[in-house]
Amino acid sequence: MSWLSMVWAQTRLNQTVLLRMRGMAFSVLLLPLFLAFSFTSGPQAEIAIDGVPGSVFAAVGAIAVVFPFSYMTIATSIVVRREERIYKRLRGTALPTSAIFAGDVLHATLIGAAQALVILAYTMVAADVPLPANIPLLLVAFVLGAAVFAALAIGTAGFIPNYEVAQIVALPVLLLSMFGSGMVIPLHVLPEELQRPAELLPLTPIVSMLRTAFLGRDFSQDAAPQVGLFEAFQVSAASLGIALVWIGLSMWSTRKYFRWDPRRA
Amino acid sequence: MNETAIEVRNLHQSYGDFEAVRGIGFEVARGELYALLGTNGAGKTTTLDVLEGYHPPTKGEVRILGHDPVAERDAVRHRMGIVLQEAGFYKDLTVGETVAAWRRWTRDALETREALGKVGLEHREKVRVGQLSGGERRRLDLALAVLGRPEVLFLDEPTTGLDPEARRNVWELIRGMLADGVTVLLTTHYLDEAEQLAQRLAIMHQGRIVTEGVLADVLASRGTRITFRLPGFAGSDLPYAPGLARRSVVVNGDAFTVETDEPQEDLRLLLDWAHGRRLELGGLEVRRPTLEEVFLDVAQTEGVAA
Repeated sequence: MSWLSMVWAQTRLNQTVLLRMRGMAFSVLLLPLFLAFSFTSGPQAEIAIDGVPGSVFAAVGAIAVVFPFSYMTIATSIVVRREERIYKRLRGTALPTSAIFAGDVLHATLIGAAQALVILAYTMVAADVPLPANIPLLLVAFVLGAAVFAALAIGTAGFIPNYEVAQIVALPVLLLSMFGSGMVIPLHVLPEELQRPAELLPLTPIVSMLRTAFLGRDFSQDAAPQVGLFEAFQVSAASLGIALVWIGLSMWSTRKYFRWDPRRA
Repeated sequence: MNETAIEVRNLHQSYGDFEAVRGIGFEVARGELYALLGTNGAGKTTTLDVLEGYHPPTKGEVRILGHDPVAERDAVRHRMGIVLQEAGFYKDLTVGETVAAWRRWTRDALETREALGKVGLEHREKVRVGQLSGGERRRLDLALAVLGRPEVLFLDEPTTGLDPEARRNVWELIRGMLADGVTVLLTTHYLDEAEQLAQRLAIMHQGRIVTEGVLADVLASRGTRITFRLPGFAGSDLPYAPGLARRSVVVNGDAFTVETDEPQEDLRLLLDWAHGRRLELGGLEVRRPTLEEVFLDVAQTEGVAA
């Protein structure tokens, strides 16, 4: 019984359980697709942003909408299993705790990857987005996004008392991610005093890495000049740094606040 | 081969300022069933949590099959089966799906039908766990606990909430496991359960073991009881000379309880005395103390001492 097969067993179990919870399955599986389509098909799509058609700019960012939903998937399932004492049962088996975490993360990431592919295909057809310019950077950005939001989910689960609160917490995470990350509206449209904090939000670096990877341009500079394969990685260094800080903070919070058992009465 | 399956030495366990277990020790040999009895809050579940490897002990040492259950988890976890007092299931999965999922991370697992057959749940394989009765859920608990052919089985109040027939079925299952050489640590507050199953037992109270030993010895520490009703008499009227060791007479209204180590002699004295006075001893009964009486005794004495 290898570690990987245990992780895969957890992943499969998570997927079966998710499909049985109809309401949750709808939010997690279909809502991100719906949001992504709506971002890319408004009237604003005609306006050019940094020399890129608005529809293309939004379409590329829309891929990032899968990450806040990963957050919701993971955080909710941690809280439900803790409060219903399913964790206590799981931890009484031969499963290592690392396999439980890894199964959660893999489960949410596979869903996110499938959704990202659907959004990608849709945007290329409907919004006329070109083929990604820098596939290695695209993959790095995706994996990093999945890691940041999985870490955030695990790191904040200790503060969430129950399923209802988990649903409520997911909402501001989703809204901040949508409107503060440059996904839907470019950050320079925001009021001056909000721009700097918005740059530090967890999804912002992922969105800008995705755009750079996709369109091969550096959007942090005026007029967004073209960048080559390696240059694209260089200009993404700051984004990478911000993402790693979020992962670090989440790991610290996990160590300090994560709990396997409901709080004692 | 190590013949001791479970070793507990000077175990202390605290949560914050509260010391739930205050220095207990016992050993369980392979193939033996050892029962931990006690009221709620006596420290039974806390003790099990440590033995099962959920927490390292605050102080002291525990060994399962010769291993530290936390530091050497990988060496023992798959050899243990656990029925927790309270643990959830994925309610939307069926019984069969639940066992099938658990089998995927259980080494050398029983077949799904075999595991369900052991607890009499084969006919519920396609039912969602959320729709099971409390007793059926308890049996599913047991099915998962025995899935990996454990060498040591921890059962935390396994029959709480079961009807009498289901309880007897669980006892049969436990006896079957014992016959196969499995070591069982059982907690319960049903004393008849301990009397039915346990070779040895300990009574815990407020984090300590207050009585421990083989069942006969624990019961022998209290005398035989002669009880009867006799209106209009006092304890001092009975034909018992003072100064005999281990004898007490308790009168409650017209209900007499004589506790004695020499039941035959004391009964003869009593019957002769009553016969001579043409007295009728109502509801006359002679019996060994039940575990329940020992237990209440302990709880009462300790309660007063605390």
